[in-house]
Amino acid sequence: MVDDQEIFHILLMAIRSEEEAHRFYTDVAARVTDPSVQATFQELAREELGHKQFLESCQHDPLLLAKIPAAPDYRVAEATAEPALSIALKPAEALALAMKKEEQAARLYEGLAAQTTDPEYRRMFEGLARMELGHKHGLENLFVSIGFPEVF
Amino acid sequence: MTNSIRELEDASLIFVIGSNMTEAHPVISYYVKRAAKKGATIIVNDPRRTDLVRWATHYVQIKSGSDIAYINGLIHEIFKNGWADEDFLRNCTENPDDIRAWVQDYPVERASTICGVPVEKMREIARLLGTSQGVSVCYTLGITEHICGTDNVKTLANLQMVLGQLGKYATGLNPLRGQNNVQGACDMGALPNVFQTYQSVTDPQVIAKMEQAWGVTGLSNRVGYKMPTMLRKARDGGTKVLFCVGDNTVQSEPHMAHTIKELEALELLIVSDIFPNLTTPYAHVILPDTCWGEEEGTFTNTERRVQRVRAALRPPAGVRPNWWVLQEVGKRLGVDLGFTSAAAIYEDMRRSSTSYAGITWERIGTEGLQWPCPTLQHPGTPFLHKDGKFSRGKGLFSKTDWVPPAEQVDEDYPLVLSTGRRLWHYHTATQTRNSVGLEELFPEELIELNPVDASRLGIASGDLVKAESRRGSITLRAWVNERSTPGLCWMAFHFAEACANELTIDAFDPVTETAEYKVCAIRVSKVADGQPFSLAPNPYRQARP
Repeated sequence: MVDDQEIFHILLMAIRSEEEAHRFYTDVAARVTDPSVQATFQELAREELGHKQFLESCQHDPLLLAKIPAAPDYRVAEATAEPALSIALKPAEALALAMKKEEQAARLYEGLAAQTTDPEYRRMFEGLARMELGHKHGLENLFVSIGFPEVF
Repeated sequence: MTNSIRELEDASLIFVIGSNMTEAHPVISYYVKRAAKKGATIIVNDPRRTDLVRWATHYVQIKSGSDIAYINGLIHEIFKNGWADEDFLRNCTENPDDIRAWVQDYPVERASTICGVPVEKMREIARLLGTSQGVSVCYTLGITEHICGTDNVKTLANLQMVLGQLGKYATGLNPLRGQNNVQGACDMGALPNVFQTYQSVTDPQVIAKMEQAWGVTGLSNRVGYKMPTMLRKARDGGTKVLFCVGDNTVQSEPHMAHTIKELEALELLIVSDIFPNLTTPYAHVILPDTCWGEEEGTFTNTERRVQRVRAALRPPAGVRPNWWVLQEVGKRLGVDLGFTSAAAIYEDMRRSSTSYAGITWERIGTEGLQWPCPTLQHPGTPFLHKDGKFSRGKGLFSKTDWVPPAEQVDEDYPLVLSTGRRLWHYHTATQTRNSVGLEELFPEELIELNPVDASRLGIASGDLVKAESRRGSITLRAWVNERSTPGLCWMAFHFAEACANELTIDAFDPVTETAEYKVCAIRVSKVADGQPFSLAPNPYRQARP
């Protein structure tokens, strides 16, 4: 039987991860040269704060995680090479970087779900994985919409 | 197209400019008609009163070659009245202040004098555009076949960004591609500067990727010539060999007499086609091709939908698919590509593509898939620029200024000739004029004249007339009607016996090198009385004007 305190701590770990992502995007936004890319990273940083707030809500009501719907997984992040971090990133590369991070987070939670024998833990990790896959899905949609232009 | 064809029927306003879609894109026009039936506002902008005007709520008869002045005038009016989408401008564009400043040169009063549209009408159109929920812009060759075609397109992009009408369902900037597979040909790298799916030939990473994919080394990173440059360089030895695949160059290029001299200057001209045409007499080698019903492959239509083409008939004896012919030529040049089918070629292309990577031969099925589709799990993309995102991040406004057409009317050549397509024939009609039924429906080209001009010249419908430009002359029958304004004539280039391209001017857009087929100066004179004909009782014959 999993106690509430343990759930609280696992969610705290997830919250710390979102905070770290927020700091990362904020930091990158301050360094990149392209104003559009800067705006993209600022937006991503804001979104991470939104994710953090959601997880804080889950600390009070863990059942919220179970209600996260499954997003389609088009595996665009998986098919995209992770761009090297640079101040000269282009907008599509910025999105590629972000969707790779969401992919890594989702796979981490999926891995934890697979490893645990406790059904309650598994449900929680699966919920966290669904949340990250949802974020990945949103970023993939944006990436696909701008990443393949006709160039004459 | 940024958006999909079927979305058109859900647009609240469709702004059609330079597109005779009921004749050139009848299937797409079906969705515009459905939108009209649902109550959408349909604005047709064209120098010629096309069939679609019957479905339009507003018809704007602009002067040919005045699009930039007209659209900039509309944008000016949209800003002036506070109808611009300020949120979109602030969040999704880089330089909104620039476009505000640039269009100050185009108050509707000035724009009106250039484009010939009354000021009040321009104000009304601007109001409709600025106050509608979902605006879809559709354009075709009436926009691109000008010396300022690139700037025409940029001006329309400016308009849609000012209105915030990109990245949403049933909106967008929607070029209706000139032929069924122009999009596919470009996607496959039939352009001088890119490999398939627009991967630049000058990018070392792309070159390395292609060399690895094809097991070769030393791929050229040099940008090639566009078609007009290829032809022009034939006369100074820069182009020695030309291989025309399904292209009737003599009839389709402007200034036919000049084109013939260019082809005659080649050391070797190979023409691969399904029937003899105006180009084959100049060929040193003629290769018979399969046609669409005889071959396997894909077409990609204007909404980026990749579709299968399936062979339904066996080709005549000795006739081979294009890919087989090209592969045999390659073998004789020392390269054996080793393909055994169209499917194998497609798979080879797909593996090293980007936006087609998820579109396998099997997945295309009967419905097709719209690119970008980068993975096998991806369902395809109905519309681009979701949430106002662009490949450069934010949308960039471009400065565009009206320039007059390359050739102006004068005392010697007082009429403007504009050219286009008729419903019954396709391009240079190599296929359709070999179809008995289609030839019966529209068997000869007719030059359309406004009654005012016809009366002044003493010409009636059915009379034999001579049409002359500085580049050539043709004799054909006249069709007097009110589709065009006084001073504007119109004809198609489908008929070898009287082809518009004997008259058209070889002036080109500097970026795309598309010719200005839509404007040249001509004169028309009567040659002989003809048998009056009435097309009116037979609506099918005249594409239902």
